[in-house]
Order: sequence, then structure tokens, then C-alpha cells
Amino acid sequence: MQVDISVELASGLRLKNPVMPASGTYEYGDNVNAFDPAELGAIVTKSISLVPWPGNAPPRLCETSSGLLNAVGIPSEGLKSFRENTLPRLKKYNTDLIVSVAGKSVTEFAQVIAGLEAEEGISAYELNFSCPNLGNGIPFATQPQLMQQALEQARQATARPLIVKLSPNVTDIKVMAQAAEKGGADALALINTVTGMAIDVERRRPVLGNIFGGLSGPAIKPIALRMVWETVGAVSIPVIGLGGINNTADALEFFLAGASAIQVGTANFANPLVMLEIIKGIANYLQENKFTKLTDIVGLARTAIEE
Amino acid sequence: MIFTKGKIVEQKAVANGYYLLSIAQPDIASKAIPGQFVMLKAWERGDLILPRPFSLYRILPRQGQLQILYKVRGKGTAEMARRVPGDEVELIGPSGNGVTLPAKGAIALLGRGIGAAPLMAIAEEAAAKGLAVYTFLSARKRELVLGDEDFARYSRRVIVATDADQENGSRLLTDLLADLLSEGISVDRVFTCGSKRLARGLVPMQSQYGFKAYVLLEEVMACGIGACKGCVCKIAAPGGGGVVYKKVCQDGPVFPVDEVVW
Ligand SMILES: Cc1cc2nc3c(=O)[nH]c(=O)nc-3n(C[C@H](O)[C@H](O)[C@H](O)COP(=O)(O)OP(=O)(O)OC[C@H]3O[C@@H](n4cnc5c(N)ncnc54)[C@H](O)[C@@H]3O)c2cc1C
Ligand SMILES: Cc1cc2nc3c(=O)[nH]c(=O)nc-3n(C[C@H](O)[C@H](O)[C@H](O)COP(=O)(O)O)c2cc1C
Ligand code: FES
Repeated sequence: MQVDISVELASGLRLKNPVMPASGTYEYGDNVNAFDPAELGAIVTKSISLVPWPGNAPPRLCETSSGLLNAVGIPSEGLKSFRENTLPRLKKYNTDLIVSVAGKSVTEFAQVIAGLEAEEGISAYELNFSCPNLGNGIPFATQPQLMQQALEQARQATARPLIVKLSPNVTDIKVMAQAAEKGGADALALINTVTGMAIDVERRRPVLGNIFGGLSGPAIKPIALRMVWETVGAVSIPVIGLGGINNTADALEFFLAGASAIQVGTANFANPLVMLEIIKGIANYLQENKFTKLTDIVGLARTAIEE
Repeated sequence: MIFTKGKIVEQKAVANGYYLLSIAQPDIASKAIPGQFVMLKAWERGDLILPRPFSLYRILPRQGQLQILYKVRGKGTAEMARRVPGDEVELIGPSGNGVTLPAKGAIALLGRGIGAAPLMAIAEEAAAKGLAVYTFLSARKRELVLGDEDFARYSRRVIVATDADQENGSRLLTDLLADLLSEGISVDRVFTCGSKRLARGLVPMQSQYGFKAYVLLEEVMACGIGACKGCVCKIAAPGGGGVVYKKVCQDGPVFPVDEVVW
């Protein structure tokens, strides 16, 4: 029996399977892929900004117990180079293409999108609101009104689906999720990294050049799962779950919490085949448990406690 | 990129806390070139999530083997040291650009401590191409001068300096290289690894002695294939003025010494 693992994230955006790379954690091209990226539910790009950004000063990485701290800081080639050099390469893969967009001002997201609207082959935009905005230095993703303003401008710039990526570094994720829904998001993706730091006791100084970094990997999975659970209960648009997914069982937890699709980040580094394994693992799980389609299990853990 | 498993053939302690690991992995052994590295994971521990980068000390395509010379630094390398022949490790690679050797002439290799590791594969290939190899190795003490017997097989000369034992008056390898060059020997290319001071010292020597020098850099890595953008080093912006970040894993690990901003 064939099981249906396709997912609809917005009208006109149906992915062939629910597994995507998390922005900034996957490269596409000659000699860097352990399997054909066309097998992915979608390709998600590194976040693109309007003008080139150099990123943060090194050191940028520090492994912590079951986690990775990164202070990469969204180095970006900028819109122009992305359009001319990167996009043509990415369009060649026979799967959906989601372009992640970053910005430092309320208008920048819409400007990047406007610069990509003439390009064919882009299925959706994912808005990364986790960088600090130039005005007050605080990330959009922690300020509901500012985020909503930036989102509304982006909404006007395109008819393509908009996925808003949320940060876990907030008191109440539901507030941010609802602001995104109100602002016109078609779907949400969460979580981005959890702010953290590490100190080198020999050198008695912060390890990362940027002092603070974002924690990813298995260490953050329980936080991500809880936030996905809360968000699914607070909005009526599809939710993409991510944060610490390392294998099929981890992915299934997110579906059972109500996520419609998932993304995999840090786990790709140690196991470049992990996303392929998860795609197959989900289909096997559905078959073994006599479900005919993925949507049958979405949110099942929620109904379990309602009964 | 090859993502695969390899079987440990031999694990040999070469000094206190230093090991030579031989791994059977014919696919990577047949593709790799000197100066390249692999991402290696030799543990199932859920708290150690990233593979670690290691240079290829020797590339043995005929035996289908790779050798890694490593120093126990933290948790990952401590786990590696516990593995025994027959155990499997996960490998991603071969990664990075590797070195380009001149068609003829001579090269010099300057390695400090564990920095000798990638130089061995270079020495072997250079000798096979008929190049003259001059090797300079230094360490805190004599027992930490690594691989000098292996280097001797492929080098015209192996010159050693140690801090503690006053061998060669604990002189800098760059000074010892200058001594050699003032004997009338000339080298076309120099490769160095393991000490920023040595790499920096080579910059002004290039025009004086007419060679081109390259350094093999290290940065903490997550992916080893250019995806995470985490392993950057500072490189002088082309055209002067300012600095650009380059990925050690993909743009390196071999860089011209005069382009690196220390
Ligand atoms: C291209 C490349 C080639 C390398 N080749 C070799 C080799 O042939 N032999 C060898 O012994 N080592 C080599 N290294 C260094 C090796 O990767 C590190 O020693 C290893 O990752 C440490 O892992 P760990 O879990 O034991 O230490 P951790 O617990 O991760 O760290 C212990 C300490 O070492 C520091 N550290 C970790 N990684 C690095 C690094 N890459 N450079 C400098 N300091 C680091 C950490 O900041 C920390 O203070 C290479 C590194 C690179 C980037
Ligand atoms: C090295 C690195 C770079 C990242 N770059 C981006 C980025 O450019 N844009 C973005 O939205 N998220 C970025 N992220 C966050 C991830 O997309 C993801 O939200 C986070 O890592 C949690 O998932 P994981 O635990 O599966 O890695 C990055 C994460 C890492 C580790
Ligand atoms: S280690 Fe990930 S880009 Fe170099």
C-alpha cells in the first residue's frame, strides 16, 4: 500500500513530502550532497539580505552538550548575487524552492521579495525575523507589532505563500504566532535557535566572537516541541516544526504535536543522509501503523489528551 | 562528497596523548589528495553531535587506507583514542582543496607539533613526483616531534628543533629554513601547519628567497562542506583595504600566507 506523505502548506503549495532542510544548514551543488536534493520536500535557502552581509567575526561555532552554539550571523551574498549566481543553480532541482529572506529594517523584507518577484520557480518565501532590527537592536521576532508591520509590507509585495519563522526567545510564542497570522502569514516555521553562550575557562573569555550565539540540535528539541504544540493550538494556519530533529522518531513527535511539516538543521552536519532517512522512516511508520496518509497523524497526541 | 563508514585497522600510540589511526576506506583513499581532510565521527554518544575534522596524514590508495595522526584535545578525540581495530567510524570527505605541488624543483615543509599531520601526505606525494623535500619539525620536547622517521623516508633532510631539549638551540623553523636557503639551496614552495608565528614569519621570506608559501589553517567546524558558514578565517580583501571571511573547509584549508589576516 502506497502512503501519501505530501503536505499542503498553503493554497498552491503542496510539497511532495514534509521534510525540508532548515535555512542555513544545507548546501546544494556539486560534491556537497550525499543524495539528490530533488528528493527533498523543498529546498530552503540560507537567508538572503538586500545587500551583502559579511557575518560575524570568528570563532563562530562551539559545540555544547547535545547542542551547537553558532554565531554565524547570516553572512549573505546579497540579493543581486543570489539572483544571478545562486538562484539559477537551485532552480534546476525538481522540487519546490523556498527562499529565506532576512532584513534589518521594516521595509527590507519586502524589498528583497520585490527583487525576486520576476523570477520563476520560487514556491514560497520564508521570513527570518530573528536578526536584530537596526532601529532598536532587538529582533523583530520578539516584537509583535514591528514584525507584523514588516510582514504586512512583505505581504503586499507578493502573492506567493509567506512562511514566517519564529524565534523561541520570547515569553509567549502564541502572541508572536497570532501576530504573524494577522499579518498575513500562510504558514509558520518554528523554532529558530535559542540564545546562549559559552565561556572558555582556560582563556577566561567568551568562546564566540559575538559573545552570544544561537543554540541548535538535540538540546533544544523539548523546547521546540512545546512551542510547536502551543502554536498549533493558537493559530489556524499550518505549522512547520523544527529544532533538534535528529531522526524519524523526533520528526514524528512534531507531527503528533500538530506540525504539518518539519525541517532538519544541525543533524545534517553529522549525518548528511538524515533527511532521506526521515522521509523513508515517516512512510514506513505510517504503513506499519496502518495509516494511509501523513495528515492522519498530524495532531494525534492532542486528540489523545482530549479524549 | 562521500559519506561512508571505515573500519579501524590499527590504533597506535605515538607519544603520550598522540595516536596514529589507520582506517580502511578505499573510496576516500582513492579520491583524496594531500592537504585535504575528513570529518570523522567515532562515537555514538548523543551529547557529542558533530564530527571532527582531521587531516590525512597518509593516503594509501593501493591498500585502500587512510591514516590520521591526532592529539587528544577534548571529548571527541578522547573517544577516538578508545576505539580499537575492527571498530567502525563515520567519515565525510575528502574535503577541502588540498595543495598544488610544483611540477619540479624543491619544497619545504614546516610543521609545529600536531601540525606535522597534513605535511606527511604532502611529503610523500612530492617525493613520488621527484621533488626535493626539506622538512622542518618542531615541538615542545623531542617525543612530541611527530613522524620524523616517516618524513625521513621522503625528505632530503629532516631538521628538528625542540623548545625543552635545546635541540637546534630551540630556534624558529623559519630561521632554520633561512639557514638552509643561505647554503645555496632554493625551494619553490613552502607549506606550513601548526603555528601562526611560523606562517607569519614566512610572509617576508617569500620575496627574499623567491618561494611561495602556504599555510594549512584550522578552525572549529560543524559541516566541513561549506554549508554552515561557521569555519571562517580572515583574508585580506582583494584590491586591498579591509577583510573578507573565507571558509576554511571549502576555500581552504590551504591559503597563501600573505592573504591571511592574522
Ligand atoms: C582542517 C583541519 C584539520 C585538522 N587536522 C588535525 C589532525 O590531523 N590532527 C589533530 O590532532 N587535529 C586536527 N585538527 C584539529 C581537530 O579537529 C580538533 O583537535 C578536534 O576537533 C578536537 O575535538 P575534541 O572533541 O577532542 O575537542 P573539543 O572538546 O571539541 O575541544 C577541546 C578544545 O580544543 C579546541 N578546538 C576544537 N576544535 C579545534 C580546532 N579545529 N582547532 C583548534 N582548536 C580546536 C576547542 O576550542 C577546545 O578548547 C584539524 C582541524 C581542522 C579544522
Ligand atoms: C550554522 C547555522 C546557520 C543557520 N542559519 C540560519 C539562517 O540563515 N536563517 C534562518 O532562518 N535560520 C538559520 N539557522 C537556524 C536553523 O534554520 C534552525 O532554525 C535551528 O538550527 C534549529 O534547528 P536544528 O536544531 O534542527 O538545527 C541556522 C542554524 C545553524 C546551526
Ligand atoms: S565547517 Fe561548515 S562551512 Fe566550513
